[in-house]
Amino acid sequence: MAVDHTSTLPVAPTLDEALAGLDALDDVGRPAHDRLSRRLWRSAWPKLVALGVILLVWQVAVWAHWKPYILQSPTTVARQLWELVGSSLFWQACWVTAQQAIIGYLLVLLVGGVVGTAVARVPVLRAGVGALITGMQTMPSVLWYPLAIMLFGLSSTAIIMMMILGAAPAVANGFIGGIDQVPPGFLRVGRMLGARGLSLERHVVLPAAFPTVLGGMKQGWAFAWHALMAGEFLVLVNPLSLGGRTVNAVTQGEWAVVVAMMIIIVFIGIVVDVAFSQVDRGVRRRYGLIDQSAS
Amino acid sequence: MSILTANPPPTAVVRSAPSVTLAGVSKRHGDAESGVVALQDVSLDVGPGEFVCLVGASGCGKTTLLNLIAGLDRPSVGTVTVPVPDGTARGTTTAMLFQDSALFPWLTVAANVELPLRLRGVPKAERRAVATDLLERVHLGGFGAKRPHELSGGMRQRAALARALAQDADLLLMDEPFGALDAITRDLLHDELEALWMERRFTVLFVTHNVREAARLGDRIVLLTSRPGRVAATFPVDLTRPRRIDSPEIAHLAATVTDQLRSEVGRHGR
Repeated sequence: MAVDHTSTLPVAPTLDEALAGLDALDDVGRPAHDRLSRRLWRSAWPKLVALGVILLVWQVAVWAHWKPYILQSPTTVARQLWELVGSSLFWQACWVTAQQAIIGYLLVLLVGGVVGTAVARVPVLRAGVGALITGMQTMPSVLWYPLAIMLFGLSSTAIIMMMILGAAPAVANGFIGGIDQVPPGFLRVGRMLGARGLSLERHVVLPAAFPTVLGGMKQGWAFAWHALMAGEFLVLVNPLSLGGRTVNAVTQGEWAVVVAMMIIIVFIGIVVDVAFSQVDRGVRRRYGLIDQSAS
Repeated sequence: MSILTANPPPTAVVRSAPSVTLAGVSKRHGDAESGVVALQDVSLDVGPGEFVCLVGASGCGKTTLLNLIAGLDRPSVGTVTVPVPDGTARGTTTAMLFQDSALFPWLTVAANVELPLRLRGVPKAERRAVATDLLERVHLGGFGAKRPHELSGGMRQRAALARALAQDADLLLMDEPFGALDAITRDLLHDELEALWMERRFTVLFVTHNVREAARLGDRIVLLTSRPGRVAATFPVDLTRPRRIDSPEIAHLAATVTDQLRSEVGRHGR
C-alpha cells in the first residue's frame, strides 16, 4: 500500500533548530562545587591531626627530660617563633632569601627549558647530552659547592650557580618527558594549520607538553630550594638571609631559634608546594585531564 | 574562490584552479623486500569544487593517500599535484579534518578557530571577527569561550570544521570525520557539511568506510581495494541536493557500491 509520507509526517525542524536541540541535550552543565570553607576544612583536618601527633611526641620527649639542654619545649619554640615573626630583621631575612630564590629559580627555568627543549627536539643533542642530564640530576648539589666557591668565591653568584646545576636538570627532564609525550596527531594538525619550525614549538609542542613540564618545574623548585638553603648554610654570603640567620643561631647555641627557623623553612616549602598543586590542578582542569564530576 | 566569510574581497580572488591530480602514485612503507605497499598505481583527478568520497575497507591506504595529498608524506612512485597558492593567497591551501577533532585542549574553542589565522599573522581584531562568524556559521555561536573537552563529539567536529574553514583552504581533506559520532548527530552534520559546501564550493576529498555516507555526500564515489590500495571503480552520484540519507535513490546506489566492495573484500579471504 502506498503511503503519502509528506502529509503524515510532522514538519521537519530546520538544521539550526535540530542542532541547537542536540547541543542542548549534550550540554549537561558543570557539577556544582562545594563551598570553599567546606573544601578547606576537608583538606585541613588530616594535616591538623598529624601536626597534633608530632607536637605530642615532642612534648612527651621534653617531659621525659631527653637531652634537656638542647631540646626546648614546643611552647618555648612557639614563643620564639612569635618573637621572630614580630621582628623586622626576620622579614628582611625572608626578603633576602626570597630575592635569591626568585632570581635563581627563573634562571633555572630558563636554562632547563632551553636545554630540555633543544635536547628533546634535536636528535644529536639527545644522544650527546640526554644521559648527562640524568647523571647530573642524581648528583647531590652539595658536591658542586667546592667548585662553585672556587669559581665565584663566597658570593650569591656561587649560590645561583649551585641552584642552576642542581635544579635545571630536573626542569630539563620535565621538558624532555613532556615533549616526548606530545601525541603525533597534534603535530600533524599543527603542520596542517600552517605551523612550522619555531611556531610549531611555540603553538603546539610546548603547550601540549605543559602539564608534564609543570611537574618538572615543581621538582626543579624543590632542588633549587635545597641548593639555596645549603648555599646559605655553607657559603654564608649574607648573615641576614634565612639560612645565614639559622647558622648564627647554631653558633650561639640558640636552639629554640634554630628549631623555629626550621619550622619556617618547612612552612615555606609547604606553601610553595600548595601553590604548585593549585596551578597544576587548574591546568589539568583546563586541558580536560580531570574528570569534571570528580573534581 | 575565497571561503573566508569576514571581509570578503570586493572582487573575486583569482586562485590557481583547485584540483588534485594523482598520476600513477604508489607508496611503499619500509624497504623494498619487507615493506608494505600501501598504494599501487593510483590515478585520480578531482575537479575544482568537486566533492569526492573515497570508500574502502581496512588497509586501502586511505590515510596514506590523504597524507600524500596534504604534503605530510611523499609518494614512492608517481606524482601528486595539489593547488598551489598563487602568491596573493595567504596561508595554506589544504585543510584536514580528522576523526577525533584534534582541537587543541589548551585553547578555547574560539582560540582554536583563530589559530590558523594567528599562524599567518592576521591581526587580533580581524581574526576574532572571522572566528566569531565561522562559529556562528557552524551553529556554535555561544560556545567560543568553552574548552574543547566541554563540548560533545559532534560540537567538537563542527568546531574543527570552523577551524578548517578559517584556513581559507581550497581543498578540504576529511579523514573519516564523522566515524565516531552517533547516527543522529552524523546525519545532522551531513546536512551541515553539504550546506557549507554548496555555499562555498571548496574541493572535498572525503574518506569513509560508510557507503551510505559516501552516497549521501559525494558527487562521485571512488572505491579502493585493500592491500595494496588501488582504484577499483568509480561511481558518479547524479542526485540533486540537498539530499537525504534515507532516500531510496541513495539506498539503491549504496547497495550497488556495497556489492562491489564486498566482492573486493571477499577476494582476500580466498
